[in-house]
Amino acid sequence: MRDSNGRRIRMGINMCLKIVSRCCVAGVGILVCAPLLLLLSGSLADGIEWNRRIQPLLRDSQEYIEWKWIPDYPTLENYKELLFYAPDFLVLFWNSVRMSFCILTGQFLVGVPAAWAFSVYRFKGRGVLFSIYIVLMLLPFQTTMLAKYLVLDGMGLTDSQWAVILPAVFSTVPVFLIYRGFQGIPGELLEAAEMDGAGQWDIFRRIGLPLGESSITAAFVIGFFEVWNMVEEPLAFLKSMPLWPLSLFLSQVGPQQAGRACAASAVTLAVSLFVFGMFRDSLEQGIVASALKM
Amino acid sequence: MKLRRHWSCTLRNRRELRRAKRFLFLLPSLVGVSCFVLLPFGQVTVSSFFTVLTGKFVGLRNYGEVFQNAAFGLAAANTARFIAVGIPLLLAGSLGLALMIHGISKPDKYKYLYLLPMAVPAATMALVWKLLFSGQGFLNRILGTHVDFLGQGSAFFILVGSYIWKNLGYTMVLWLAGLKSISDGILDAAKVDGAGKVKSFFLITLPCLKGSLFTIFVVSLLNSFKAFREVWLVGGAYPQRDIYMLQNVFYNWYVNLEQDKLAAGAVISAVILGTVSLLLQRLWDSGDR
Amino acid sequence: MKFHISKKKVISILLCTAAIFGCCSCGSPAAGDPGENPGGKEMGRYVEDTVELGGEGGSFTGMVQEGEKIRLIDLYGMDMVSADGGKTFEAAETVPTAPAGEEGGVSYVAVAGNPDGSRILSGYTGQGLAWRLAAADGSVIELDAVGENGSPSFYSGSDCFYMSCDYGIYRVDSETGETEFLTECASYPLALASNGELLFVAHTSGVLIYDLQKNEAAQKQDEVLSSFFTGKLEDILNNPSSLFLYPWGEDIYVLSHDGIYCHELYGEEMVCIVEGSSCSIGNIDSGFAGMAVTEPDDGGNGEKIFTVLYTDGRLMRYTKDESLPAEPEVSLRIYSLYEDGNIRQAVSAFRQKYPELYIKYEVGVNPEYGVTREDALRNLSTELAAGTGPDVLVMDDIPFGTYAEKGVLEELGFLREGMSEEEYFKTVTDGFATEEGLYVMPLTFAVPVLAGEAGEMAVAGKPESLSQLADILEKVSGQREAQNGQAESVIGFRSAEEALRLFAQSSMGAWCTEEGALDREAVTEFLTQVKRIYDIQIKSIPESMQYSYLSGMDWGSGENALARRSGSYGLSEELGKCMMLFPGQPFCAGYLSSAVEDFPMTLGRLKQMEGEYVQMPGQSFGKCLASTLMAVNSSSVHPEESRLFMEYIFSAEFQGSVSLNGTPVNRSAYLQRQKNPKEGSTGPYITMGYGMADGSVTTLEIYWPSEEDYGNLDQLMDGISGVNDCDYRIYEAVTVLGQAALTGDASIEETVDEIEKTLELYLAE
Repeated sequence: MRDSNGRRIRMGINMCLKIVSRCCVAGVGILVCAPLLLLLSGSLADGIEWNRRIQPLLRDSQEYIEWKWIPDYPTLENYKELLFYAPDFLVLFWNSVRMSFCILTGQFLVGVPAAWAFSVYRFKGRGVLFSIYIVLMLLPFQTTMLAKYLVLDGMGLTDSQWAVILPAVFSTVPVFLIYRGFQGIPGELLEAAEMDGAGQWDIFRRIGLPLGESSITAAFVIGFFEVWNMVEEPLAFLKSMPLWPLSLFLSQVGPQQAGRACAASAVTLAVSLFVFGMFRDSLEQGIVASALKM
Repeated sequence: MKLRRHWSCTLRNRRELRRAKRFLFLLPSLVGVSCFVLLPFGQVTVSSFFTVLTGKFVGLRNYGEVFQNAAFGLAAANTARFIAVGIPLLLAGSLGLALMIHGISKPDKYKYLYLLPMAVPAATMALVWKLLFSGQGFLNRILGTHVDFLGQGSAFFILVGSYIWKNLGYTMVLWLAGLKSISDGILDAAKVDGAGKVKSFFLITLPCLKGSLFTIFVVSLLNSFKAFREVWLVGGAYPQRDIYMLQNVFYNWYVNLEQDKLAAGAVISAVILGTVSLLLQRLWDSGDR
Repeated sequence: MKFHISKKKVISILLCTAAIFGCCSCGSPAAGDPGENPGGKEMGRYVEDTVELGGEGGSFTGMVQEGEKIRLIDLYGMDMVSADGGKTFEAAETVPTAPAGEEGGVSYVAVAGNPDGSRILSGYTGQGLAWRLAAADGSVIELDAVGENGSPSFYSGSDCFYMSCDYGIYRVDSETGETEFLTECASYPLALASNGELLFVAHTSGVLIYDLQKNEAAQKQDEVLSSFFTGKLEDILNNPSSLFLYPWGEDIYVLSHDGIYCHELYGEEMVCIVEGSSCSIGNIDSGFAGMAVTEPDDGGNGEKIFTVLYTDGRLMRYTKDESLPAEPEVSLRIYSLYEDGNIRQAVSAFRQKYPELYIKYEVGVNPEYGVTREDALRNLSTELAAGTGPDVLVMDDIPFGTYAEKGVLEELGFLREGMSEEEYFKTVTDGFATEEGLYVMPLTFAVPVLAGEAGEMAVAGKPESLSQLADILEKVSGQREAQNGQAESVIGFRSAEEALRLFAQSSMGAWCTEEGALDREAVTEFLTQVKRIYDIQIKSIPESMQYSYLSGMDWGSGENALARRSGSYGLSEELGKCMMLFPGQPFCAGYLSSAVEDFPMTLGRLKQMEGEYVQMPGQSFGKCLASTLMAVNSSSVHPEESRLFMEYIFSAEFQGSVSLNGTPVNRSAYLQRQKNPKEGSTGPYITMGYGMADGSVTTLEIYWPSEEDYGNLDQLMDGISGVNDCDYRIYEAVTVLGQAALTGDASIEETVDEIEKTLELYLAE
């Protein structure tokens, strides 16, 4: 009798816990996305409305910034202005697309084989080398900015987009992320393939790539976010504005053009979200794969 | 017997060939990294012993100056504090969330919500910060006050908050992966043995997650350095004292032509990062065995 | 599963497109980049010459061409013509621009002319906007068929005019004035051009090509031209005369601040022929009023000669000199953080004196492109550290102390040695000398002064400190209040920011100790005294006038460092403001420069109030404000040429020949300025009108200063004991954060703490 009562109570508590945790998860999720919604609604408000809202910030008065979830007069004017009347925006947009593409392709060609080598082969100095890779990955950009500039200058690459592309191609971050994914491939499988006489290249292509696919994709989606939002590198190495990526356009619109800034952010974000949605499943599996160590 | 010898023979030849081929996998990356990352860093290391523009050898003087520099001290302390507060909070928060989500039957739709902030550009975040936390901002509207949250100690917590906001989803998914890998069998067995939820969490779940910890930690550390972008966009070269990060010092040294100090500072931080990551790796490897 | 396949397809298609796109254009990131070698040949480079127009050199607003004949169009009919392709000009017969017998006349705002002398004019009459055609035969015809609104743009054809008004495009017959509506443009038209067959209409979203034979928009539009134009749109909207289209046969020449471009109609390329940054074309302050394209006498090898008329009336010819190497061996780079008018003039004059040297002026901060001071300084230090820095540096708002300490700057001994006490204001040129040497030398300076009614000034004596000034103001204000029953403005500023920036002119040098730390005591004293003055002044002006004229001003766009730091606080502007807003105000303060435009005006206004001036009291009493601080990069690749440039710009030859902002440090140049340019005429130098606060208009006649006036000025200049300067960040911190102390939002103690805290990190680094 007592036992069943206890069980009932425990079940009740369990139910409650589940509901609470579900609410928690959903609540925090909404909270997490609130700034994004603010942004989206902001991009729909026109210049006049923004002006009114932002005034207190600029004039240092006692009033507050006004924020509505839905603007008084929703309009697509900001988008129209951005996409049709701001020629720089499109130039920078395509710069971003082009640079991201070059960087990601380069990272694929360079980083994936390197990650494979690190995770599958045991060679002398592997541990040390990999540690060096990790430290280099963590080192703040500012520390080597001048030295990098000197290298790029020596190659005659400064003030061309290659000055941003090449160093990013040889970033060690994707190596680190993909390495984890490849570690998940059982050693027996590789040994068996080797026994069957498969060449190293074949093993990499037939076994490594398909099994590591999700983690590779994940590393690239994360890499894309990184490249798409990169600020420091282009600012340091690209002097002429027509070469800049979109991320720099965003950092130069101040609160005075908040509507435009919101719309620009929304467009930038939309591209990221598109990529995100495209590779959603792989992304998650990939992140999973990079975290696992079997 | 004969056959086997033949096998081993070809195997040896192949092995050598394979070794060469293996190296080919690594070569492009190695060349590029040496050229674009290692070489510059080497140059920085060398130049940390010289004056930058006149090229005079000064031995360890630059290091001495850096260690005595009050701004560097403050920035290092702030960065350490940020890491010490931000990473544990992020790890704990995301683990808690991961556990909750793990318990829910169909968690997919929530997960994606959490992953969204990762894609938000830093410039946009800076704008949102200003709208939310400035003296006339949204938060003050709710509180009915006029406090510039970005201009005082609270800026640090805003920074931590935004760091967690941005990385929560990512870290959570990393944890989820670890959680999934724990076979239900062990947990069920523990239940049969009479272990409560709490007990089995500490005795089984946590130790099993240790494997994921290294990656999660390194990734979180990497992302913690990226929080500088928001600091820079909101506060410029001289932000509020508490969010004055190492990168700020490096940046300002750079602008003020103090490249010698910058070089010494870079080497110091690389040594610290190297030690930390080696220690962690060691710790992680030993736990594995 | 099916879904998965389609997804993969989408991805692969996307990737392929991106790949093609990426590969096509990554290699050549900026097509038509002006930085490319102009002309692309080994030899031959365009050089710039000024065309002397002689005489009065009227105010020409346009230029038209018919073969070798070039005509400069004057708003009032006093044209000049050239028959030899722009080498020489002579006055043409005056064309009547108003109907005979019209009284009062029209003030025309826009004009376009034809080679035969006919012109189309628009301007305001009593009835509103009027359009007129002044035909070559002397008759003036009213045009009624055009809309009423909008600013027009014109183009002169051979026998007709094209013009736009609002969105409409019209053709006007140049003999009869018959007006024909052609088409409506989709967005606002900005400029017109025609080659006889096609009409090019540049509007806010591109360039429309209109076929004049078929009377419709041409079948084929030119995308390359359109996108080039929209790329410059921001520039054009800021300054409508910053782009000029000129069709010439099958080609179109485009004149912009980046240079002269040649574009083959419907072609792929915009070829930069004359690089803007190498000559006056690149000066973003200038506007273009017209361009003519001619061929050299010997026919050349297809190279053209360009004659460019600027909106300020200068006429320049650009000819290709085949004997010069296309890429000059020596190219000297001059750098400043912000645009500096003095340097523009120096570069332009140096170019003319040494045409064989190639000189380039670079401005770091570009608010339009979002390049802030921080970004610019970072780029500069990258270049300096990499050894590729500019040769000559203008150090306004750059921390030159650190630069000198790090060994970036060259010791200026070579310059200093040749400077005698008689020929230079040594206290100013040596103002920045330290024990280690002299690394920066100001090109010009200005003296902060206190002006006031003679009577009050006599009572006041010569105050030297802010506290003395506060005492005086307190007394005067009290007297006035007792006399008039209400408090009145005594010194003119209207906000805390203005007050701080005003008195910083005579005090900022004291805020910094010799070690470079903040001098707490000095700042406290400064804020205390300025607060006293602020309290007197601000309570006496109506609340509606208490706003900062300075806030919202774009500091980056100032003409020089003085204007950037102190806003409008030139004494002449202060006096003007005082006349308009607070007539009867006893004192006025600001910096005084001896610029030709400036000093007579200041003095004229001062005489109006029967005033006198003395040096402004302050913590650095007796020191002057220096601007355009020159320095040389110690690792310059062209040390000889850099020295040559420095020697040139400090010479009397240069400083005496141009009108610099501020007083030149060269004494003989300064004395040269005292000569009346309208020598012999007894009338007023300038006559000007003021709209008063109550709506009435006062006119003021300004005469050239007398010898006595200049004697007083000389005395003031000789009394200068040094240079008053302060680190950029310290200046900003005190003038921005100090406002709280003045308005009473914080105590002085708290404010100084706050300033100290803000600067702590900066100074600790």
